[in-house]
Amino acid sequence: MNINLLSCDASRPDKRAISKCINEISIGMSDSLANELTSILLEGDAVDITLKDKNSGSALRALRKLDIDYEIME
Amino acid sequence: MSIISKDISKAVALLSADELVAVPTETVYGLAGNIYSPNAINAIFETKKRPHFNPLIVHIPSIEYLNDIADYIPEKAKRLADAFWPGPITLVLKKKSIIPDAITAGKDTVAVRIPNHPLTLDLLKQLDFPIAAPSANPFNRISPTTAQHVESYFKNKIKMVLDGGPCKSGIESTIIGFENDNPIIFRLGSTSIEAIEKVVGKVTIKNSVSKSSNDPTKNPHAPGMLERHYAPKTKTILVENLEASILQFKSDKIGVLAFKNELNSQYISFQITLSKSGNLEEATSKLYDALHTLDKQDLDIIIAERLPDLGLGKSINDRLNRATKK
Repeated sequence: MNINLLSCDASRPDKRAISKCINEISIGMSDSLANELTSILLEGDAVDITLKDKNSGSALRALRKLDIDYEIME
Repeated sequence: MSIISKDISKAVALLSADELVAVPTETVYGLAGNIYSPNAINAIFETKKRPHFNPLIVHIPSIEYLNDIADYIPEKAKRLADAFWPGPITLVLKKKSIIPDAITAGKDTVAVRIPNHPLTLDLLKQLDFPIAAPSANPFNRISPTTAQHVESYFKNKIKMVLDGGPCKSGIESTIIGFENDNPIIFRLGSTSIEAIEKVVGKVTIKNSVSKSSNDPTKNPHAPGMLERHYAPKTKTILVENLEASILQFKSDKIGVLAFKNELNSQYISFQITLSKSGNLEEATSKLYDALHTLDKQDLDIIIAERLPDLGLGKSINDRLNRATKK
């Protein structure tokens, strides 16, 4: 499933936790790419990721816990 | 913007993450959330701007699941479930304690049904929880019968509309509760009284309440019982005689909702006929889409014709009555 991470609404975003989450839930991700995407997201731009097929419900819940808004892509 | 998609796996993921998804049923589109998730249930009330005293209907995948929801199932309820499920009948039964009060408006009963739409039945079978799914429209507004209706109401307030095409029945389920094990109709709907009485004999109708206190025992037993509901933004009246009413409002921009006869009148700006053959099932299936269409025409008034008061005609008249209440 492809999703677009739109923004992080946390008052004090935990950059390391967000990066770890993106790394864990995405296909084709590395530590460095996850760090880079996290920086882009926190600077206010949207980023696309592809979720692993298994447990995508848990992945979305993890994003919600980090106050990351997202949209589902076709 | 929410996506409109037929992909059940996306809906499963979102609902499992406590998000809301609009789902198709045979009656209208529902705004679905996990009944055991306080976040999801709160979001349903917030998104719809629905008062918390109005209970929600729980949707389950099979009759066997009823034992997880209901503490007691009267014999006549079993007969109705066997006869009509999956289908447009909702049963109000004594609830199990596991059912959250937020679903039942604090009452000790729960409204439950099995919807008859292949996509949503498949979805329910893939979830490990039932869903609450009131109609996917802002409170008091016209219920949605297409994915596009839902999208126009909520835009990006929900993540996804599961697209199952236009709803076949077109108005909500008939809701039946029990007093001393005897069936009582709390809301007229897509299953006619005549069909119900063939299964369980004579039924009583008690389908309207005025909400006036904070006492949960005075809350409606079921959704759709409030005097005003299902209403277009445009002023709407329900009449016996279309021609006379059109003349009365001839200086206004008039829209007409006729049952079967199309009228020729210079005073009508826009007109919809529900069933040219006079078929009540066809009229029922088209009712809400017709009201949506009329409501978009920038009219001063919608004049709706009262239908024959039998079978599904009673349910349509009930909806039109509530749509015209101020």
